[in-house]
Amino acid sequence: VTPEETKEIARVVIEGIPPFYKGLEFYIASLIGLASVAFSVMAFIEARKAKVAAAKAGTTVKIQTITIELTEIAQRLDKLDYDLEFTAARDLLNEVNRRLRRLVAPFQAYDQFKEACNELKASLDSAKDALDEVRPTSGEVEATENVVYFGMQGHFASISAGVAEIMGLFEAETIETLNESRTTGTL
Amino acid sequence: MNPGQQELSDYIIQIVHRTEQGEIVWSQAAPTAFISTRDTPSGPKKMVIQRASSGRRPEPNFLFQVKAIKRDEGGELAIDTSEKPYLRDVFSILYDAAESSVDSQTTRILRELLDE
Repeated sequence: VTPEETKEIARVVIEGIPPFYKGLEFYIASLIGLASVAFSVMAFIEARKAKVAAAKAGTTVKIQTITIELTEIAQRLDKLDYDLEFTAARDLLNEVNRRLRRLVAPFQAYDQFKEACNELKASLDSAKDALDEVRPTSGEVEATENVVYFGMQGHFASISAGVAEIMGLFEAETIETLNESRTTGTL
Repeated sequence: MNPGQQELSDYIIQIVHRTEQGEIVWSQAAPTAFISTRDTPSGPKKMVIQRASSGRRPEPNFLFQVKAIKRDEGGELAIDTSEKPYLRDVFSILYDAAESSVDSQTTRILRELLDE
Protein backbone atom coordinates (compact mmCIF):
# COMPACT_ATOMS: atom_id res chain seq x y z
CA VAL A 1 0.00 0.00 0.00
CA THR A 2 1.42 3.32 -1.06
CA PRO A 3 1.39 6.36 1.16
CA GLU A 4 -1.20 7.97 -1.10
CA GLU A 5 -3.47 4.98 -0.69
CA THR A 6 -3.01 5.10 3.10
CA LYS A 7 -4.05 8.74 3.15
CA GLU A 8 -7.05 7.98 0.98
CA ILE A 9 -8.11 5.17 3.32
CA ALA A 10 -7.71 7.47 6.35
CA ARG A 11 -9.79 10.22 4.70
CA VAL A 12 -12.56 7.78 3.83
CA VAL A 13 -12.59 6.46 7.45
CA ILE A 14 -12.63 9.96 8.96
CA GLU A 15 -15.34 11.22 6.69
CA GLY A 16 -17.38 8.11 7.44
CA ILE A 17 -17.55 8.90 11.21
CA PRO A 18 -19.98 11.80 11.99
CA PRO A 19 -18.70 14.49 14.45
CA PHE A 20 -19.71 14.03 18.13
CA TYR A 21 -21.99 17.10 18.20
CA LYS A 22 -24.11 15.68 15.45
CA GLY A 23 -25.22 12.81 17.65
CA LEU A 24 -28.43 12.90 19.76
CA GLU A 25 -26.56 11.53 22.80
CA PHE A 26 -24.45 14.67 22.98
CA TYR A 27 -27.51 16.90 23.26
CA ILE A 28 -29.19 14.65 25.81
CA ALA A 29 -26.04 14.60 27.96
CA SER A 30 -25.62 18.36 27.59
CA LEU A 31 -29.22 19.02 28.63
CA ILE A 32 -28.86 16.80 31.71
CA GLY A 33 -25.60 18.56 32.61
CA LEU A 34 -27.08 22.05 32.21
CA ALA A 35 -30.18 21.09 34.21
CA SER A 36 -27.95 19.80 37.02
CA VAL A 37 -25.99 23.04 37.11
CA ALA A 38 -29.22 25.11 37.09
CA PHE A 39 -30.70 23.09 39.94
CA SER A 40 -27.46 23.41 41.91
CA VAL A 41 -27.48 27.20 41.47
CA MET A 42 -31.16 27.39 42.50
CA ALA A 43 -30.48 25.22 45.56
CA PHE A 44 -27.57 27.48 46.52
CA ILE A 45 -29.72 30.61 46.17
CA GLU A 46 -32.55 29.10 48.24
CA ALA A 47 -30.14 27.93 50.93
CA ARG A 48 -28.66 31.39 51.10
CA LYS A 49 -32.12 32.96 51.42
CA ALA A 50 -33.00 30.48 54.17
CA LYS A 51 -29.80 31.33 56.03
CA VAL A 52 -30.54 35.06 55.84
CA ALA A 53 -34.15 34.47 56.89
CA ALA A 54 -33.05 32.31 59.82
CA ALA A 55 -30.60 34.99 60.95
CA LYS A 56 -33.31 37.67 60.70
CA ALA A 57 -35.78 35.47 62.54
CA GLY A 58 -33.20 35.05 65.30
CA THR A 59 -32.70 38.82 65.49
CA THR A 60 -36.48 39.35 65.54
CA VAL A 61 -36.91 36.96 68.45
CA LYS A 62 -34.04 38.68 70.30
CA ILE A 63 -35.56 42.12 69.61
CA GLN A 64 -38.95 40.94 70.88
CA THR A 65 -37.36 39.62 74.08
CA ILE A 66 -35.56 42.94 74.61
CA THR A 67 -38.77 44.87 73.87
CA ILE A 68 -40.54 42.97 76.66
CA GLU A 69 -37.75 43.91 79.07
CA LEU A 70 -37.82 47.55 77.90
CA THR A 71 -41.59 47.65 78.47
CA GLU A 72 -41.08 46.50 82.04
CA ILE A 73 -38.45 49.22 82.63
CA ALA A 74 -40.70 51.91 81.11
CA GLN A 75 -43.58 50.84 83.35
CA ARG A 76 -41.36 51.08 86.43
CA LEU A 77 -40.22 54.57 85.41
CA ASP A 78 -43.81 55.70 84.90
CA LYS A 79 -44.85 54.66 88.41
CA LEU A 80 -42.73 56.96 90.54
CA ASP A 81 -43.91 57.54 94.08
CA TYR A 82 -44.59 61.17 94.96
CA ASP A 83 -42.72 60.61 98.23
CA LEU A 84 -39.73 59.08 96.46
CA GLU A 85 -36.74 59.01 98.79
CA PHE A 86 -33.18 59.59 97.69
CA THR A 87 -32.04 56.01 98.31
CA ALA A 88 -34.99 54.61 96.34
CA ALA A 89 -34.30 57.03 93.47
CA ARG A 90 -30.60 56.12 93.50
CA ASP A 91 -31.34 52.39 93.46
CA LEU A 92 -33.91 52.76 90.70
CA LEU A 93 -31.60 54.88 88.55
CA ASN A 94 -28.66 52.52 89.05
CA GLU A 95 -30.75 49.53 88.08
CA VAL A 96 -32.35 51.23 85.07
CA ASN A 97 -28.99 52.62 83.95
CA ARG A 98 -27.30 49.23 84.09
CA ARG A 99 -30.14 47.33 82.39
CA LEU A 100 -30.74 49.87 79.62
CA ARG A 101 -27.08 50.20 78.71
CA ARG A 102 -26.77 46.41 78.54
CA LEU A 103 -29.93 46.06 76.41
CA VAL A 104 -29.12 48.76 73.86
CA ALA A 105 -25.38 48.06 73.60
CA PRO A 106 -25.69 45.48 70.75
CA PHE A 107 -27.76 47.90 68.65
CA GLN A 108 -25.63 51.02 68.95
CA ALA A 109 -23.59 50.15 65.88
CA TYR A 110 -26.66 50.08 63.60
CA ASP A 111 -27.48 53.37 61.90
CA GLN A 112 -31.23 53.08 62.50
CA PHE A 113 -30.74 52.81 66.29
CA LYS A 114 -27.63 54.92 66.83
CA GLU A 115 -29.33 58.30 67.41
CA ALA A 116 -32.01 56.94 69.77
CA CYS A 117 -29.39 54.99 71.75
CA ASN A 118 -27.20 58.08 72.11
CA GLU A 119 -30.16 60.20 73.27
CA LEU A 120 -31.11 57.57 75.81
CA LYS A 121 -27.56 57.44 77.16
CA ALA A 122 -27.51 61.25 77.37
CA SER A 123 -30.75 61.14 79.37
CA LEU A 124 -29.24 58.57 81.73
CA ASP A 125 -26.16 60.75 82.26
CA SER A 126 -28.35 63.80 82.82
CA ALA A 127 -30.44 61.90 85.39
CA LYS A 128 -27.27 60.89 87.22
CA ASP A 129 -26.28 64.58 87.45
CA ALA A 130 -29.80 65.49 88.65
CA LEU A 131 -29.63 62.80 91.33
CA ASP A 132 -26.44 64.38 92.67
CA GLU A 133 -28.37 67.65 92.94
CA VAL A 134 -30.97 66.18 95.29
CA ARG A 135 -28.51 64.26 97.44
CA PRO A 136 -29.48 65.14 101.03
CA THR A 137 -27.01 67.41 102.77
CA SER A 138 -29.10 67.26 105.92
CA GLY A 139 -31.92 65.10 107.25
CA GLU A 140 -34.43 67.73 106.19
CA VAL A 141 -34.67 66.60 102.60
CA GLU A 142 -36.17 63.28 103.69
CA ALA A 143 -38.71 65.20 105.74
CA THR A 144 -39.69 67.13 102.63
CA GLU A 145 -40.96 64.13 100.80
CA ASN A 146 -41.28 65.39 97.23
CA VAL A 147 -37.91 67.16 96.82
CA VAL A 148 -36.38 64.05 95.25
CA TYR A 149 -39.50 63.40 93.19
CA PHE A 150 -39.54 66.94 91.82
CA GLY A 151 -35.83 66.85 91.05
CA MET A 152 -35.95 63.51 89.28
CA GLN A 153 -39.34 63.10 87.64
CA GLY A 154 -38.45 65.12 84.52
CA HIS A 155 -35.35 63.01 84.00
CA PHE A 156 -37.13 59.73 84.56
CA ALA A 157 -39.77 60.93 82.07
CA SER A 158 -37.00 61.65 79.52
CA ILE A 159 -35.55 58.17 80.03
CA SER A 160 -39.00 56.65 79.66
CA ALA A 161 -39.54 58.61 76.42
CA GLY A 162 -36.16 57.40 75.11
CA VAL A 163 -37.06 53.80 75.96
CA ALA A 164 -40.40 54.19 74.16
CA GLU A 165 -38.61 55.56 71.10
CA ILE A 166 -36.24 52.59 70.97
CA MET A 167 -39.15 50.19 71.44
CA GLY A 168 -40.87 51.85 68.46
CA LEU A 169 -37.75 51.42 66.34
CA PHE A 170 -37.50 47.77 67.38
CA GLU A 171 -41.13 47.19 66.44
CA ALA A 172 -40.58 48.87 63.06
CA GLU A 173 -37.58 46.62 62.49
CA THR A 174 -39.61 43.53 63.39
CA ILE A 175 -42.44 44.50 61.03
CA GLU A 176 -39.93 45.18 58.25
CA THR A 177 -38.34 41.76 58.74
CA LEU A 178 -41.73 40.05 58.70
CA ASN A 179 -42.75 41.88 55.52
CA GLU A 180 -39.46 40.98 53.90
CA SER A 181 -39.89 37.34 54.87
CA ARG A 182 -43.40 37.30 53.40
CA THR A 183 -42.15 38.89 50.17
CA THR A 184 -39.31 36.42 49.75
CA GLY A 185 -41.51 33.51 50.77
CA THR A 186 -39.25 32.45 53.62
CA LEU A 187 -41.99 32.81 56.22
CA MET B 1 -49.43 89.55 84.45
CA ASN B 2 -52.93 89.96 85.92
CA PRO B 3 -53.49 91.58 89.38
CA GLY B 4 -53.67 88.19 91.12
CA GLN B 5 -50.42 87.06 89.56
CA GLN B 6 -48.82 90.40 90.38
CA GLU B 7 -49.87 90.08 94.03
CA LEU B 8 -48.42 86.58 94.21
CA SER B 9 -45.21 87.81 92.66
CA ASP B 10 -45.06 90.71 95.17
CA TYR B 11 -45.32 88.30 98.12
CA ILE B 12 -42.42 86.26 96.76
CA ILE B 13 -40.39 89.45 96.35
CA GLN B 14 -41.18 90.30 100.00
CA ILE B 15 -39.74 86.92 101.03
CA VAL B 16 -36.65 87.74 98.97
CA HIS B 17 -36.25 91.11 100.74
CA ARG B 18 -36.70 89.57 104.18
CA THR B 19 -34.14 86.91 103.25
CA GLU B 20 -31.69 89.60 102.16
CA GLN B 21 -32.27 91.44 105.44
CA GLY B 22 -31.50 88.24 107.35
CA GLU B 23 -35.00 88.04 108.79
CA ILE B 24 -35.72 84.80 106.97
CA VAL B 25 -32.91 82.26 107.27
CA TRP B 26 -32.57 79.31 104.94
CA SER B 27 -30.75 76.02 105.34
CA GLN B 28 -29.59 73.74 102.59
CA ALA B 29 -31.39 70.41 102.45
CA ALA B 30 -29.84 69.29 99.17
CA PRO B 31 -27.55 70.96 96.62
CA THR B 32 -30.62 72.39 94.86
CA ALA B 33 -33.14 72.64 97.73
CA PHE B 34 -33.35 75.19 100.54
CA ILE B 35 -35.63 75.10 103.57
CA SER B 36 -36.71 77.79 105.98
CA THR B 37 -38.90 77.34 109.05
CA ARG B 38 -41.16 80.10 110.39
CA ASP B 39 -43.79 80.42 113.05
CA THR B 40 -47.16 81.61 111.79
CA PRO B 41 -50.46 82.23 113.63
CA SER B 42 -51.64 78.82 112.39
CA GLY B 43 -48.52 77.03 113.61
CA PRO B 44 -44.95 76.52 112.44
CA LYS B 45 -44.51 76.21 108.70
CA LYS B 46 -41.60 75.38 106.50
CA MET B 47 -40.88 76.90 103.11
CA VAL B 48 -38.97 74.97 100.49
CA ILE B 49 -37.51 76.41 97.31
CA GLN B 50 -36.05 73.93 94.89
CA ARG B 51 -34.55 74.16 91.42
CA ALA B 52 -34.80 71.22 89.05
CA SER B 53 -33.54 70.72 85.54
CA SER B 54 -36.33 69.39 83.40
CA GLY B 55 -34.86 66.65 81.27
CA ARG B 56 -34.40 67.83 77.69
CA ARG B 57 -35.59 71.42 78.22
CA PRO B 58 -32.78 73.87 78.93
CA GLU B 59 -34.52 76.22 81.38
CA PRO B 60 -34.80 75.05 85.02
CA ASN B 61 -38.06 74.67 86.89
CA PHE B 62 -38.61 75.90 90.43
CA LEU B 63 -40.85 74.39 93.06
CA PHE B 64 -41.91 76.53 96.01
CA GLN B 65 -43.71 74.78 98.83
CA VAL B 66 -45.15 75.85 102.16
CA LYS B 67 -45.96 73.04 104.52
CA ALA B 68 -47.24 72.72 108.01
CA ILE B 69 -44.60 71.08 110.15
CA LYS B 70 -47.32 69.12 111.88
CA ARG B 71 -49.06 67.41 109.01
CA ASP B 72 -52.56 67.70 110.45
CA GLU B 73 -52.36 71.49 110.58
CA GLY B 74 -52.82 71.90 106.84
CA GLY B 75 -51.99 75.16 105.12
CA GLU B 76 -49.95 73.51 102.42
CA LEU B 77 -48.99 75.27 99.22
CA ALA B 78 -46.99 74.11 96.21
CA ILE B 79 -46.19 76.27 93.21
CA ASP B 80 -44.41 74.71 90.25
CA THR B 81 -43.06 77.02 87.56
CA SER B 82 -43.81 74.44 84.88
CA GLU B 83 -47.46 75.27 85.64
CA LYS B 84 -46.91 78.98 86.40
CA PRO B 85 -44.07 80.04 84.12
CA TYR B 86 -44.63 83.75 84.88
CA LEU B 87 -43.18 83.09 88.35
CA ARG B 88 -39.94 81.57 87.05
CA ASP B 89 -38.01 84.83 87.31
CA VAL B 90 -39.10 85.67 90.87
CA PHE B 91 -38.45 82.14 92.07
CA SER B 92 -35.05 82.26 90.43
CA ILE B 93 -34.34 85.42 92.48
CA LEU B 94 -35.67 83.75 95.64
CA TYR B 95 -33.51 80.68 94.98
CA ASP B 96 -30.42 82.87 94.62
CA ALA B 97 -31.35 84.74 97.80
CA ALA B 98 -31.74 81.45 99.72
CA GLU B 99 -28.37 80.29 98.39
CA SER B 100 -26.80 83.57 99.52
CA SER B 101 -28.43 83.15 102.92
CA VAL B 102 -26.76 79.76 103.34
CA ASP B 103 -23.43 81.18 102.14
CA SER B 104 -23.74 84.02 104.70
CA GLN B 105 -24.33 81.53 107.50
CA THR B 106 -21.37 79.45 106.36
CA THR B 107 -19.20 82.55 106.33
CA ARG B 108 -20.43 83.55 109.79
CA ILE B 109 -19.67 80.10 111.22
CA LEU B 110 -16.20 80.07 109.70
CA ARG B 111 -15.54 83.58 110.99
CA GLU B 112 -16.58 82.51 114.49
CA LEU B 113 -14.28 79.51 114.29
CA LEU B 114 -11.36 81.65 113.20
CA ASP B 115 -12.11 84.34 115.83
CA GLU B 116 -11.84 81.70 118.55
